[in-house]
Amino acid sequence: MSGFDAVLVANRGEIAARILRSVRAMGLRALLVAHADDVAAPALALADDVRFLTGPTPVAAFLDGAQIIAAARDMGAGAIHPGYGFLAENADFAAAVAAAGLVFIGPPPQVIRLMGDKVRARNFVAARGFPVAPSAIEDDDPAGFADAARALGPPLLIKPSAGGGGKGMRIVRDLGLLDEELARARSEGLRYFGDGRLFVERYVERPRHIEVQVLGDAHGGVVHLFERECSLQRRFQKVVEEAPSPALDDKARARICDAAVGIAAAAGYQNAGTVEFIMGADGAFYFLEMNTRLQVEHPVTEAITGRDLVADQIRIARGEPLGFAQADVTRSGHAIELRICAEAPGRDFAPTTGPVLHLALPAGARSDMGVAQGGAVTPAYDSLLGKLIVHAATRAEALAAADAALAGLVLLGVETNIAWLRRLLADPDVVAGRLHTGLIGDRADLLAEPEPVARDALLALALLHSAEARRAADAVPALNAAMGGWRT
Amino acid sequence: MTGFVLIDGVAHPAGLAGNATLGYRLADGRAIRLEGDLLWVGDARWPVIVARDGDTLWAHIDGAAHRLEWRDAVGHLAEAAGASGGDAMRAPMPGSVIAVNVAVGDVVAAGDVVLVIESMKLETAIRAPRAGVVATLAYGVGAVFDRDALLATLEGEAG
Repeated sequence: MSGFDAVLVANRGEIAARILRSVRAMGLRALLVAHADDVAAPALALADDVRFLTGPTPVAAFLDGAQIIAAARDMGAGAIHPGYGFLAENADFAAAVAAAGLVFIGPPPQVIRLMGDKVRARNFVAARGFPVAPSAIEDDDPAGFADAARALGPPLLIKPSAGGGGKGMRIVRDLGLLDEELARARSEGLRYFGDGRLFVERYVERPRHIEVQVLGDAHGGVVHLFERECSLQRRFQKVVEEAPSPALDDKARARICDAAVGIAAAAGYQNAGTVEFIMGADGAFYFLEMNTRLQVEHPVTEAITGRDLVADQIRIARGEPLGFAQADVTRSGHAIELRICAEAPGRDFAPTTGPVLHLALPAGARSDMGVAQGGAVTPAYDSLLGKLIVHAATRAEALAAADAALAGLVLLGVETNIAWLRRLLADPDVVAGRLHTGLIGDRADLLAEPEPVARDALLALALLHSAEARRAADAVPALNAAMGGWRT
Repeated sequence: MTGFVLIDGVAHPAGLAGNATLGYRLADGRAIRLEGDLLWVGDARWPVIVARDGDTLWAHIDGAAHRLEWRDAVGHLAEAAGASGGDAMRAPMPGSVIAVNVAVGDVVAAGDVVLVIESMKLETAIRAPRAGVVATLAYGVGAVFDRDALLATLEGEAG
């Protein structure tokens, strides 16, 4: 690969801003594509040049690879960083970028293709002796698929073959609902990935989600940057991630991290990637999937290892060797990331929208935000507004720092999950590190907003700010007013 | 003046006593006043950050954001009376319609999927709250709606 001195970020929100920061810090030109309805986004202020994408919807614009490549050439970009989501794991896009004479900051197309097909990836990993969960695969026998799934016995987990990010995944405990759930998963698979093929796995009860960050260079070097635990999920989507995992001792950590390096090396992996595992209560772990991109939760790894993963990605994409060995990768302390989402936990995490009237970031935390004061949250994109990342010497201190950061984050105008995250972090199981992917679902009692401690202050504030309430009070004759709230 | 303050959508009876000249008080007699970013309630002092969006006041206080709305007693009662029973299917979130499974006049059972909506890449089935006949369907496939929009209604006896 050749060198380049200008990088186009083909993404939006918090990740576009985060990537642009590293691009600038490396002294490279920072280029951005954006949608016209997103002009208040913080990424725009970090870019040296911006081109606006058009499309039937904003999401469609970010999925228009040809338009993005044309913008990259027009702006003089030498490389494209896809971020996560959108085209980040689209092998055809990666190939088209290379064909246009540009560098795709990610793994080679054939690796994306292998890992992007969940069934092929699973078979690839199993064939090399790494553990996978028992499963039924539609491609192997379309006619007998539902029966094969039934034969695994409940509980089952339906997954789209081309999936990722929890989209289209469904747990089935009652086999009577299997056909209906298969149909819905197929419809979501078609909608989000253009591919309705499915596979079904035995669902591991109360599993932990543990993933390992890997980096591979173009010269055969592969290292891991330790694990992240991402067991706190709602709707199969992560909301709180931490590193290291409280579930692993050094021996278990070495086993799972070595497995990840083995899988990445076998796949000829280059650039940053993540090997995801599920771990049962017995400590046995199974390969889940490999994400061939930067993850949302990469900052917790950056916090404990002191590395800049985007800078590493760019150096690798330039063809430079890693420049360090596994033994050089060390970790310190404990990091926690909190995903700040526009959603209402009390209404089944339904997305919310609204203007960002006021935004103030907390001290003592890294804030990777995708919205700015004066902007707005619309239904056009997913609900992630940004992330807070805290790093402290111990897990207990990191939890305390996380709570303080959440309390100090001021975001007015849109309902968010901030208050719920504070309740979640105070849960005794979360405090003790007894995590599993169903924990949030089990703790429905945390969803409802308790009556605020500051209730009377809130009432006072609302009354003082209501011109109508003040006018009505002022209209009461002075004698009655002096007597207080007297009335018949 | 008694009315209601909605804190995050939950109604709390609240009245403002006193006046601009003498100072305002809560119904229990505690003096309340604002001094810049400080709110005084009796002897307690609360740092606050507020922002207004139309009739809604957003406030960050005691480490949490809240949505505040003032309703006089008449307005609150009218709203409560207008709240729908089991006939209405409202949008739980803003989004768009991706499938309409029924037509006006169709008989549906409780739990039947009437519409499938999508918001922020999340697909949600809107199910009939009871058995009945579909009376209205306000949005077709592709139509965009806000939260709480009336998507469909039922009529007829629960069967």
